[in-house]
Amino acid sequence: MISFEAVEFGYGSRPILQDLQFSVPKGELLAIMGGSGSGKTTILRLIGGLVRQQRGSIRVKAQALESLNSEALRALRRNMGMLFQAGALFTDLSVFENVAFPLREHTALPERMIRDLVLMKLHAVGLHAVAERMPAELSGGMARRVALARAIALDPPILMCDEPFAGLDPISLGTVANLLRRLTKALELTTLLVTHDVEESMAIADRIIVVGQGRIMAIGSPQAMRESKDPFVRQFIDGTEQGPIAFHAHGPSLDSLLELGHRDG
Amino acid sequence: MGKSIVCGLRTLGASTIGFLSYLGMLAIFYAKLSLLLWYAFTRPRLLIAQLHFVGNRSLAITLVSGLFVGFVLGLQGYYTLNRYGSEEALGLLVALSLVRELGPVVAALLFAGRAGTSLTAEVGLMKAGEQLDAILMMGIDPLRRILAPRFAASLIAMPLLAALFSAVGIGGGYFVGVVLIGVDSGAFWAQMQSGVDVVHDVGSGVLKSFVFGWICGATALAMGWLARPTPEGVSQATTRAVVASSLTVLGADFLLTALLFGQ
Repeated sequence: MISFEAVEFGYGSRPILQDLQFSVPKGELLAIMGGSGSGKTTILRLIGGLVRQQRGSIRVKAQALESLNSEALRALRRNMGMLFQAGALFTDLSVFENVAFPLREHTALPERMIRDLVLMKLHAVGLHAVAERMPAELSGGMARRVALARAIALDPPILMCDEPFAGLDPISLGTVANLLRRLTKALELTTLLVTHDVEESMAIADRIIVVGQGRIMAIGSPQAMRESKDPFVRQFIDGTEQGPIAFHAHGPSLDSLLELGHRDG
Repeated sequence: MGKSIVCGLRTLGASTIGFLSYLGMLAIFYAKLSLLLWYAFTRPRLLIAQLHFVGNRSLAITLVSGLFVGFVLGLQGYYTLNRYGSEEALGLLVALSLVRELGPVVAALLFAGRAGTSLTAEVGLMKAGEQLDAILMMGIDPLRRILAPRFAASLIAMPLLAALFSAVGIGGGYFVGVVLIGVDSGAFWAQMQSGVDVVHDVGSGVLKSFVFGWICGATALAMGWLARPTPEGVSQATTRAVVASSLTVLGADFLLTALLFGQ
Protein backbone atom coordinates (compact mmCIF):
# COMPACT_ATOMS: atom_id res chain seq x y z
CA MET A 1 0.00 0.00 0.00
CA ILE A 2 2.83 2.40 0.91
CA SER A 3 6.50 2.07 0.05
CA PHE A 4 9.58 4.24 0.54
CA GLU A 5 12.59 3.68 -1.70
CA ALA A 6 15.85 5.41 -0.73
CA VAL A 7 13.99 8.53 0.35
CA GLU A 8 15.94 11.57 1.49
CA PHE A 9 14.46 14.75 2.89
CA GLY A 10 15.86 17.88 4.49
CA TYR A 11 15.08 21.52 5.15
CA GLY A 12 17.62 23.52 3.11
CA SER A 13 21.02 22.03 3.81
CA ARG A 14 19.85 20.38 7.07
CA PRO A 15 19.09 16.69 6.43
CA ILE A 16 16.11 15.26 8.33
CA LEU A 17 15.66 11.82 6.80
CA GLN A 18 18.19 9.75 4.86
CA ASP A 19 17.97 6.52 2.92
CA LEU A 20 14.49 5.66 4.13
CA GLN A 21 13.45 2.26 2.85
CA PHE A 22 10.37 0.41 4.03
CA SER A 23 6.94 -0.67 2.90
CA VAL A 24 3.58 -1.05 4.63
CA PRO A 25 1.21 -3.70 3.25
CA LYS A 26 -2.58 -3.32 3.26
CA GLY A 27 -4.19 -4.05 6.61
CA GLU A 28 -1.07 -3.44 8.70
CA LEU A 29 -0.84 -1.22 11.74
CA LEU A 30 2.65 0.25 11.78
CA ALA A 31 3.92 2.26 14.73
CA ILE A 32 6.69 4.78 14.05
CA MET A 33 8.70 5.58 17.14
CA GLY A 34 11.76 7.65 17.87
CA GLY A 35 13.10 10.57 19.83
CA SER A 36 11.78 14.12 19.51
CA GLY A 37 12.87 15.72 16.25
CA SER A 38 13.84 12.41 14.67
CA GLY A 39 11.58 13.01 11.65
CA LYS A 40 8.60 10.79 12.54
CA THR A 41 5.97 13.41 11.67
CA THR A 42 7.88 14.25 8.49
CA ILE A 43 7.35 10.64 7.32
CA LEU A 44 3.57 11.15 7.57
CA ARG A 45 3.81 14.54 5.83
CA LEU A 46 5.83 12.91 3.03
CA ILE A 47 3.16 10.24 2.54
CA GLY A 48 0.46 12.93 2.45
CA GLY A 49 2.46 14.92 -0.10
CA LEU A 50 2.52 17.94 2.23
CA VAL A 51 6.29 18.03 1.76
CA ARG A 52 8.29 16.60 -1.15
CA GLN A 53 11.36 14.41 -0.79
CA GLN A 54 14.63 15.54 -2.37
CA ARG A 55 15.60 12.02 -3.49
CA GLY A 56 14.05 8.59 -3.80
CA SER A 57 10.52 7.49 -4.49
CA ILE A 58 7.37 7.20 -2.37
CA ARG A 59 4.55 5.04 -3.68
CA VAL A 60 1.04 5.12 -2.26
CA LYS A 61 -1.58 2.78 -3.72
CA ALA A 62 0.91 2.00 -6.53
CA GLN A 63 1.23 5.67 -7.49
CA ALA A 64 4.57 7.45 -7.24
CA LEU A 65 3.86 10.68 -5.38
CA GLU A 66 6.65 12.59 -7.12
CA SER A 67 5.01 12.03 -10.52
CA LEU A 68 1.54 13.24 -9.53
CA ASN A 69 0.18 16.66 -10.42
CA SER A 70 -1.84 18.58 -7.84
CA GLU A 71 -5.19 17.27 -9.13
CA ALA A 72 -4.03 13.63 -8.96
CA LEU A 73 -2.50 14.22 -5.53
CA ARG A 74 -5.81 15.62 -4.28
CA ALA A 75 -7.61 12.55 -5.60
CA LEU A 76 -5.10 10.27 -3.86
CA ARG A 77 -5.46 12.17 -0.58
CA ARG A 78 -9.14 11.28 -0.52
CA ASN A 79 -7.89 7.80 0.37
CA MET A 80 -6.09 9.10 3.43
CA GLY A 81 -7.28 10.22 6.83
CA MET A 82 -4.85 12.18 8.95
CA LEU A 83 -4.97 13.03 12.61
CA PHE A 84 -2.69 16.01 13.24
CA GLN A 85 -0.64 16.41 16.40
CA ALA A 86 -2.68 19.42 17.61
CA GLY A 87 -5.98 18.12 16.21
CA ALA A 88 -6.29 20.94 13.63
CA LEU A 89 -10.04 21.22 14.20
CA PHE A 90 -11.80 24.12 12.48
CA THR A 91 -12.30 26.52 15.35
CA ASP A 92 -15.31 28.29 13.80
CA LEU A 93 -17.27 25.03 13.34
CA SER A 94 -18.92 22.88 16.00
CA VAL A 95 -17.71 19.36 16.78
CA PHE A 96 -20.55 17.99 14.62
CA GLU A 97 -19.71 20.26 11.67
CA ASN A 98 -16.01 19.40 11.94
CA VAL A 99 -16.72 15.70 11.50
CA ALA A 100 -19.34 16.43 8.84
CA PHE A 101 -16.92 18.64 6.87
CA PRO A 102 -15.28 15.94 4.67
CA LEU A 103 -18.67 14.24 4.16
CA ARG A 104 -20.27 17.47 2.97
CA GLU A 105 -17.31 18.25 0.69
CA HIS A 106 -16.95 14.86 -0.94
CA THR A 107 -20.41 13.31 -0.93
CA ALA A 108 -23.92 14.31 -1.85
CA LEU A 109 -25.49 12.36 1.02
CA PRO A 110 -28.81 13.59 2.43
CA GLU A 111 -28.61 15.58 5.66
CA ARG A 112 -30.18 12.79 7.72
CA MET A 113 -27.54 10.29 6.61
CA ILE A 114 -24.73 12.76 7.29
CA ARG A 115 -26.16 13.28 10.77
CA ASP A 116 -26.26 9.51 11.44
CA LEU A 117 -22.72 8.97 10.12
CA VAL A 118 -21.28 11.85 12.13
CA LEU A 119 -22.96 10.67 15.34
CA MET A 120 -21.68 7.13 14.74
CA LYS A 121 -18.11 8.37 14.23
CA LEU A 122 -18.37 10.53 17.33
CA HIS A 123 -19.82 7.60 19.26
CA ALA A 124 -16.81 5.51 18.21
CA VAL A 125 -14.53 7.98 20.01
CA GLY A 126 -16.98 8.37 22.90
CA LEU A 127 -17.97 11.96 22.14
CA HIS A 128 -21.44 11.86 20.55
CA ALA A 129 -22.76 13.78 23.57
CA VAL A 130 -20.60 16.84 22.83
CA ALA A 131 -21.55 17.12 19.15
CA GLU A 132 -22.92 20.65 19.53
CA ARG A 133 -19.96 22.03 21.45
CA MET A 134 -17.32 24.26 19.87
CA PRO A 135 -13.68 23.05 19.74
CA ALA A 136 -12.65 25.78 22.23
CA GLU A 137 -14.92 24.11 24.82
CA LEU A 138 -13.07 20.77 24.60
CA SER A 139 -10.03 19.53 26.49
CA GLY A 140 -6.88 18.70 24.47
CA GLY A 141 -7.61 14.97 24.66
CA MET A 142 -11.24 15.41 23.58
CA ALA A 143 -10.18 17.62 20.64
CA ARG A 144 -7.80 14.91 19.51
CA ARG A 145 -10.56 12.31 19.66
CA VAL A 146 -12.86 14.55 17.59
CA ALA A 147 -10.02 14.96 15.11
CA LEU A 148 -9.74 11.16 14.94
CA ALA A 149 -13.48 10.91 14.26
CA ARG A 150 -13.05 13.45 11.44
CA ALA A 151 -10.05 11.53 10.03
CA ILE A 152 -12.13 8.35 9.75
CA ALA A 153 -15.31 10.11 8.57
CA LEU A 154 -14.90 8.92 4.97
CA ASP A 155 -13.58 5.47 5.97
CA PRO A 156 -10.25 6.06 4.19
CA PRO A 157 -8.14 2.99 3.38
CA ILE A 158 -5.06 4.73 4.81
CA LEU A 159 -5.10 6.26 8.27
CA MET A 160 -2.21 8.31 9.64
CA CYS A 161 -2.17 9.41 13.24
CA ASP A 162 0.38 11.82 14.68
CA GLU A 163 0.59 11.27 18.43
CA PRO A 164 -2.98 9.97 18.88
CA PHE A 165 -2.38 9.09 22.52
CA ALA A 166 -0.84 12.37 23.71
CA GLY A 167 -2.88 14.08 26.41
CA LEU A 168 -5.36 11.22 26.80
CA ASP A 169 -6.35 9.85 30.20
CA PRO A 170 -5.70 6.10 30.67
CA ILE A 171 -9.33 5.14 29.90
CA SER A 172 -9.47 7.22 26.70
CA LEU A 173 -6.01 6.03 25.72
CA GLY A 174 -6.99 2.37 25.99
CA THR A 175 -10.26 2.99 24.14
CA VAL A 176 -8.62 4.94 21.29
CA ALA A 177 -5.86 2.33 20.98
CA ASN A 178 -8.45 -0.46 20.77
CA LEU A 179 -10.48 1.56 18.29
CA LEU A 180 -7.44 1.95 16.02
CA ARG A 181 -6.73 -1.77 16.28
CA ARG A 182 -10.38 -2.67 15.58
CA LEU A 183 -10.69 -0.27 12.63
CA THR A 184 -7.48 -1.55 11.09
CA LYS A 185 -8.64 -5.16 11.32
CA ALA A 186 -12.31 -4.72 10.48
CA LEU A 187 -11.89 -2.33 7.54
CA GLU A 188 -8.47 -3.65 6.48
CA LEU A 189 -7.01 -0.18 6.88
CA THR A 190 -3.36 0.60 6.53
CA THR A 191 -2.63 2.53 9.70
CA LEU A 192 0.51 4.48 10.53
CA LEU A 193 0.92 5.66 14.05
CA VAL A 194 3.54 8.16 15.19
CA THR A 195 3.81 7.78 18.93
CA HIS A 196 6.01 7.91 21.99
CA ASP A 197 3.81 5.51 23.89
CA VAL A 198 5.92 2.34 23.93
CA GLU A 199 3.53 0.09 25.88
CA GLU A 200 0.40 0.95 23.90
CA SER A 201 2.22 0.65 20.57
CA MET A 202 3.62 -2.74 21.55
CA ALA A 203 0.09 -3.86 22.39
CA ILE A 204 -1.63 -2.86 19.15
CA ALA A 205 1.00 -2.59 16.36
CA ASP A 206 1.79 -5.32 13.85
CA ARG A 207 5.24 -3.85 13.29
CA ILE A 208 7.29 -1.07 14.78
CA ILE A 209 9.83 1.22 13.13
CA VAL A 210 12.33 3.01 15.34
CA VAL A 211 13.69 6.18 13.72
CA GLY A 212 16.82 7.94 14.90
CA GLN A 213 19.51 10.19 13.46
CA GLY A 214 17.42 10.54 10.31
CA ARG A 215 17.47 6.80 9.57
CA ILE A 216 15.51 3.68 10.35
CA MET A 217 17.41 2.15 13.25
CA ALA A 218 15.21 -0.91 13.67
CA ILE A 219 12.12 -2.45 12.13
CA GLY A 220 10.23 -5.52 13.31
CA SER A 221 7.37 -6.99 15.31
CA PRO A 222 6.69 -5.82 18.88
CA GLN A 223 8.05 -9.17 20.10
CA ALA A 224 11.27 -8.68 18.13
CA MET A 225 11.62 -5.19 19.58
CA ARG A 226 11.15 -6.45 23.12
CA GLU A 227 13.86 -9.06 22.59
CA SER A 228 16.20 -6.77 20.67
CA LYS A 229 19.75 -6.37 21.96
CA ASP A 230 20.33 -3.29 19.78
CA PRO A 231 21.45 -0.54 22.20
CA PHE A 232 19.40 2.08 20.30
CA VAL A 233 16.17 0.04 20.55
CA ARG A 234 16.90 -0.97 24.15
CA GLN A 235 17.43 2.63 25.24
CA PHE A 236 14.21 3.73 23.59
CA ILE A 237 12.11 0.88 24.98
CA ASP A 238 13.62 0.97 28.47
CA GLY A 239 13.57 4.79 28.55
CA THR A 240 17.08 5.17 30.01
CA GLU A 241 19.30 8.24 29.73
CA GLN A 242 22.43 6.21 29.00
CA GLY A 243 22.76 5.04 25.41
CA PRO A 244 23.28 6.18 21.84
CA ILE A 245 20.32 8.61 21.93
CA ALA A 246 21.56 11.84 23.55
CA PHE A 247 19.16 13.63 25.89
CA HIS A 248 20.88 16.97 25.22
CA ALA A 249 20.55 18.56 21.78
CA HIS A 250 23.69 18.40 19.63
CA GLY A 251 25.87 21.52 19.90
CA PRO A 252 28.43 23.25 22.12
CA SER A 253 28.76 22.02 25.72
CA LEU A 254 27.28 23.93 28.65
CA ASP A 255 30.80 24.49 30.07
CA SER A 256 31.98 26.17 26.89
CA LEU A 257 28.88 28.39 26.80
CA LEU A 258 29.29 29.37 30.48
CA GLU A 259 32.96 30.12 29.92
CA LEU A 260 32.08 32.30 26.92
CA GLY A 261 29.54 34.16 29.04
CA HIS A 262 32.14 34.88 31.75
CA ARG A 263 34.66 36.07 29.17
CA ASP A 264 32.10 38.39 27.49
CA GLY A 265 31.09 39.80 30.88
CA MET B 1 38.33 45.95 3.94
CA GLY B 2 37.99 43.79 0.81
CA LYS B 3 36.38 41.06 2.88
CA SER B 4 33.75 43.38 4.32
CA ILE B 5 32.87 44.70 0.83
CA VAL B 6 32.42 41.12 -0.42
CA CYS B 7 30.36 40.32 2.68
CA GLY B 8 28.21 43.43 2.15
CA LEU B 9 27.67 42.61 -1.53
CA ARG B 10 26.75 39.06 -0.62
CA THR B 11 24.17 40.27 1.91
CA LEU B 12 22.78 42.76 -0.61
CA GLY B 13 22.57 40.03 -3.27
CA ALA B 14 20.90 37.59 -0.88
CA SER B 15 18.31 40.12 0.25
CA THR B 16 17.61 41.17 -3.37
CA ILE B 17 17.09 37.54 -4.38
CA GLY B 18 14.90 37.03 -1.30
CA PHE B 19 12.81 40.10 -2.17
CA LEU B 20 12.45 39.07 -5.82
CA SER B 21 11.43 35.52 -4.90
CA TYR B 22 8.86 36.95 -2.48
CA LEU B 23 7.48 39.14 -5.28
CA GLY B 24 7.43 36.08 -7.54
CA MET B 25 5.52 34.08 -4.94
CA LEU B 26 3.03 36.94 -4.58
CA ALA B 27 2.55 37.15 -8.35
CA ILE B 28 1.94 33.39 -8.61
CA PHE B 29 -0.48 33.57 -5.70
CA TYR B 30 -2.43 36.49 -7.22
CA ALA B 31 -2.61 34.69 -10.57
CA LYS B 32 -3.81 31.42 -9.00
CA LEU B 33 -6.39 33.22 -6.87
CA SER B 34 -7.75 35.17 -9.84
CA LEU B 35 -7.96 32.01 -11.96
CA LEU B 36 -9.86 30.17 -9.20
CA LEU B 37 -12.32 33.01 -8.62
CA TRP B 38 -15.04 31.26 -10.65
CA TYR B 39 -15.13 28.49 -8.04
CA ALA B 40 -16.64 30.86 -5.46
CA PHE B 41 -19.76 31.23 -7.61
CA THR B 42 -20.31 27.46 -7.62
CA ARG B 43 -20.72 27.56 -3.82
CA PRO B 44 -23.22 30.40 -3.24
CA ARG B 45 -23.68 29.57 0.46
CA LEU B 46 -19.99 30.04 1.18
CA LEU B 47 -19.98 33.24 -0.85
CA ILE B 48 -22.98 34.67 1.00
CA ALA B 49 -21.41 33.83 4.37
CA GLN B 50 -18.24 35.64 3.35
CA LEU B 51 -20.20 38.59 1.95
CA HIS B 52 -21.78 38.90 5.36
CA PHE B 53 -18.38 38.64 7.04
CA VAL B 54 -16.46 41.14 4.91
CA GLY B 55 -19.36 43.29 3.72
CA ASN B 56 -22.06 43.58 6.37
CA ARG B 57 -19.58 43.81 9.21
CA SER B 58 -17.79 46.70 7.48
CA LEU B 59 -21.04 48.61 7.01
CA ALA B 60 -21.07 50.57 10.26
CA ILE B 61 -17.55 51.99 9.97
CA THR B 62 -18.09 52.76 6.26
CA LEU B 63 -21.41 54.56 6.75
CA VAL B 64 -20.28 56.59 9.76
CA SER B 65 -17.04 57.60 8.00
CA GLY B 66 -18.97 58.49 4.83
CA LEU B 67 -21.32 60.71 6.82
CA PHE B 68 -18.50 62.64 8.50
CA VAL B 69 -16.54 63.00 5.26
CA GLY B 70 -19.76 64.38 3.71
CA PHE B 71 -20.14 66.86 6.61
CA VAL B 72 -16.57 68.10 6.16
CA LEU B 73 -16.94 68.32 2.37
CA GLY B 74 -20.14 70.35 2.83
CA LEU B 75 -18.42 72.82 5.17
CA GLN B 76 -15.12 73.16 3.31
CA GLY B 77 -16.88 73.25 -0.07
CA TYR B 78 -19.22 75.99 1.06
CA TYR B 79 -16.40 78.19 2.49
CA THR B 80 -14.39 77.89 -0.73
CA LEU B 81 -17.29 78.29 -3.19
CA ASN B 82 -18.74 81.18 -1.18
CA ARG B 83 -15.60 83.22 -1.96
CA TYR B 84 -16.49 83.10 -5.64
CA GLY B 85 -20.24 83.41 -5.09
CA SER B 86 -20.94 79.99 -6.51
CA GLU B 87 -22.20 78.10 -3.47
CA GLU B 88 -25.01 76.58 -5.62
CA ALA B 89 -22.29 74.31 -7.05
CA LEU B 90 -21.84 72.70 -3.62
CA GLY B 91 -23.87 69.64 -4.62
CA LEU B 92 -21.70 69.12 -7.69
CA LEU B 93 -18.46 69.52 -5.71
CA VAL B 94 -19.55 67.09 -2.99
CA ALA B 95 -20.83 64.52 -5.48
CA LEU B 96 -17.81 64.60 -7.79
CA SER B 97 -15.33 64.48 -4.88
CA LEU B 98 -17.08 61.48 -3.39
CA VAL B 99 -18.00 59.52 -6.50
CA ARG B 100 -14.71 59.96 -8.33
CA GLU B 101 -12.18 59.87 -5.49
CA LEU B 102 -13.09 59.85 -1.83
CA GLY B 103 -15.76 57.17 -1.99
CA PRO B 104 -13.63 54.45 -3.60
CA VAL B 105 -10.35 55.43 -1.89
CA VAL B 106 -11.51 56.02 1.70
CA ALA B 107 -13.89 53.04 1.59
CA ALA B 108 -10.97 50.89 0.35
CA LEU B 109 -8.68 52.13 3.13
CA LEU B 110 -11.39 51.39 5.71
CA PHE B 111 -12.01 48.01 4.08
CA ALA B 112 -8.29 47.16 4.30
CA GLY B 113 -8.28 48.06 7.98
CA ARG B 114 -11.56 46.38 8.93
CA ALA B 115 -12.13 43.36 6.67
CA GLY B 116 -8.59 42.92 5.29
CA THR B 117 -7.02 42.45 8.72
CA SER B 118 -9.72 39.89 9.65
CA LEU B 119 -9.03 37.93 6.47
CA THR B 120 -5.25 37.93 7.01
CA ALA B 121 -5.53 36.92 10.66
CA GLU B 122 -8.10 34.22 9.89
CA VAL B 123 -6.07 32.60 7.11
CA GLY B 124 -2.79 33.02 9.05
CA LEU B 125 -4.25 31.38 12.15
CA MET B 126 -5.69 28.55 10.05
CA LYS B 127 -2.19 27.99 8.71
CA ALA B 128 -0.61 28.15 12.18
CA GLY B 129 -3.21 25.69 13.52
CA GLU B 130 -2.55 23.22 10.65
CA GLN B 131 -6.17 23.68 9.51
CA LEU B 132 -5.05 24.42 5.95
CA ASP B 133 -2.94 21.23 6.00
CA ALA B 134 -5.95 19.32 7.34
CA ILE B 135 -8.04 20.61 4.41
CA LEU B 136 -5.29 19.59 1.97
CA MET B 137 -5.20 16.11 3.52
CA MET B 138 -8.94 15.76 2.95
CA GLY B 139 -8.23 16.11 -0.78
CA ILE B 140 -9.67 19.63 -0.86
CA ASP B 141 -7.90 22.62 -2.38
CA PRO B 142 -7.86 25.37 0.30
CA LEU B 143 -7.37 28.00 -2.40
CA ARG B 144 -10.77 27.04 -3.81
CA ARG B 145 -12.62 26.18 -0.60
CA ILE B 146 -11.27 28.83 1.79
CA LEU B 147 -9.70 31.64 -0.21
CA ALA B 148 -11.79 31.94 -3.40
CA PRO B 149 -15.11 32.76 -1.60
CA ARG B 150 -13.35 35.38 0.55
CA PHE B 151 -11.73 36.93 -2.51
CA ALA B 152 -15.00 37.00 -4.46
CA ALA B 153 -16.77 38.54 -1.46
CA SER B 154 -14.14 41.32 -1.36
CA LEU B 155 -14.65 42.01 -5.07
CA ILE B 156 -18.43 42.24 -4.64
CA ALA B 157 -18.50 44.06 -1.30
CA MET B 158 -15.99 46.78 -2.14
CA PRO B 159 -17.98 48.58 -4.92
CA LEU B 160 -21.16 48.30 -2.82
CA LEU B 161 -19.45 49.76 0.24
CA ALA B 162 -17.90 52.56 -1.84
CA ALA B 163 -21.33 53.37 -3.34
CA LEU B 164 -22.90 53.48 0.12
CA PHE B 165 -20.02 55.63 1.38
CA SER B 166 -20.63 58.12 -1.45
CA ALA B 167 -24.41 58.09 -0.99
CA VAL B 168 -24.20 58.74 2.75
CA GLY B 169 -21.48 61.34 2.14
CA ILE B 170 -23.74 63.23 -0.29
CA GLY B 171 -26.45 63.08 2.39
CA GLY B 172 -23.96 64.53 4.90
CA GLY B 173 -22.98 67.31 2.47
CA TYR B 174 -26.66 68.12 1.90
CA PHE B 175 -27.35 68.26 5.64
CA VAL B 176 -24.49 70.71 6.34
CA GLY B 177 -24.84 72.77 3.15
CA VAL B 178 -28.61 72.94 2.76
CA VAL B 179 -30.12 72.28 6.18
CA LEU B 180 -27.53 73.99 8.40
CA ILE B 181 -26.02 76.71 6.18
CA GLY B 182 -28.95 77.41 3.91
CA VAL B 183 -27.72 76.69 0.38
CA ASP B 184 -30.66 76.37 -2.01
CA SER B 185 -31.87 72.77 -2.06
CA GLY B 186 -32.98 72.88 -5.73
CA ALA B 187 -29.60 74.26 -6.84
CA PHE B 188 -27.79 71.62 -4.80
CA TRP B 189 -29.51 68.74 -6.60
CA ALA B 190 -29.82 70.42 -10.03
CA GLN B 191 -26.10 71.18 -10.27
CA MET B 192 -25.32 67.66 -9.24
CA GLN B 193 -27.74 66.20 -11.80
CA SER B 194 -26.38 68.27 -14.66
CA GLY B 195 -22.69 68.02 -13.76
CA VAL B 196 -22.24 64.36 -12.85
CA ASP B 197 -21.87 62.05 -15.82
CA VAL B 198 -23.15 58.58 -14.99
CA VAL B 199 -20.80 56.69 -17.28
CA HIS B 200 -17.67 58.79 -16.90
CA ASP B 201 -17.86 59.84 -13.24
CA VAL B 202 -19.92 57.13 -11.56
CA GLY B 203 -18.50 54.44 -13.87
CA SER B 204 -14.91 55.39 -13.10
CA GLY B 205 -15.72 55.30 -9.36
CA VAL B 206 -17.21 51.83 -9.70
CA LEU B 207 -14.20 50.64 -11.73
CA LYS B 208 -11.82 52.06 -9.14
CA SER B 209 -13.62 50.44 -6.22
CA PHE B 210 -13.65 47.12 -8.07
CA VAL B 211 -9.86 47.34 -8.60
CA PHE B 212 -9.38 48.35 -4.96
CA GLY B 213 -11.49 45.37 -3.88
CA TRP B 214 -9.17 43.13 -5.89
CA ILE B 215 -6.10 44.75 -4.30
CA CYS B 216 -7.40 44.66 -0.71
CA GLY B 217 -8.82 41.11 -0.93
CA ALA B 218 -5.86 39.54 -2.73
CA THR B 219 -3.28 41.30 -0.54
CA ALA B 220 -5.01 40.39 2.72
CA LEU B 221 -5.34 36.74 1.68
CA ALA B 222 -1.78 36.57 0.32
CA MET B 223 -0.33 37.92 3.57
CA GLY B 224 -2.28 35.35 5.58
CA TRP B 225 -1.35 32.53 3.19
CA LEU B 226 2.36 33.40 3.24
CA ALA B 227 2.48 34.23 6.98
CA ARG B 228 4.94 32.41 9.21
CA PRO B 229 2.82 29.88 11.14
CA THR B 230 3.47 31.45 14.56
CA PRO B 231 1.53 34.04 16.62
CA GLU B 232 4.27 36.58 15.88
CA GLY B 233 4.23 35.72 12.16
CA VAL B 234 0.44 36.19 11.97
CA SER B 235 0.58 39.54 13.77
CA GLN B 236 3.33 40.77 11.42
CA ALA B 237 1.37 39.56 8.39
CA THR B 238 -1.71 41.46 9.56
CA THR B 239 0.24 44.71 9.88
CA ARG B 240 1.90 44.09 6.52
CA ALA B 241 -1.48 43.51 4.89
CA VAL B 242 -2.85 46.91 5.99
CA VAL B 243 0.30 48.79 4.97
CA ALA B 244 0.65 47.02 1.60
CA SER B 245 -3.07 47.32 0.76
CA SER B 246 -3.26 51.01 1.69
CA LEU B 247 -0.14 52.01 -0.26
CA THR B 248 -1.16 49.94 -3.28
CA VAL B 249 -4.66 51.46 -3.25
CA LEU B 250 -3.23 54.99 -3.17
CA GLY B 251 -0.73 54.21 -5.94
CA ALA B 252 -3.38 52.51 -8.07
CA ASP B 253 -5.74 55.45 -7.52
CA PHE B 254 -3.19 57.84 -9.00
CA LEU B 255 -2.63 55.57 -12.01
CA LEU B 256 -6.35 55.04 -12.58
CA THR B 257 -7.12 58.74 -12.24
CA ALA B 258 -4.40 59.55 -14.76
CA LEU B 259 -5.78 56.91 -17.14
CA LEU B 260 -9.47 57.72 -16.72
CA PHE B 261 -9.36 61.51 -16.49
CA GLY B 262 -6.09 62.35 -18.29
CA GLN B 263 -6.34 64.29 -21.53
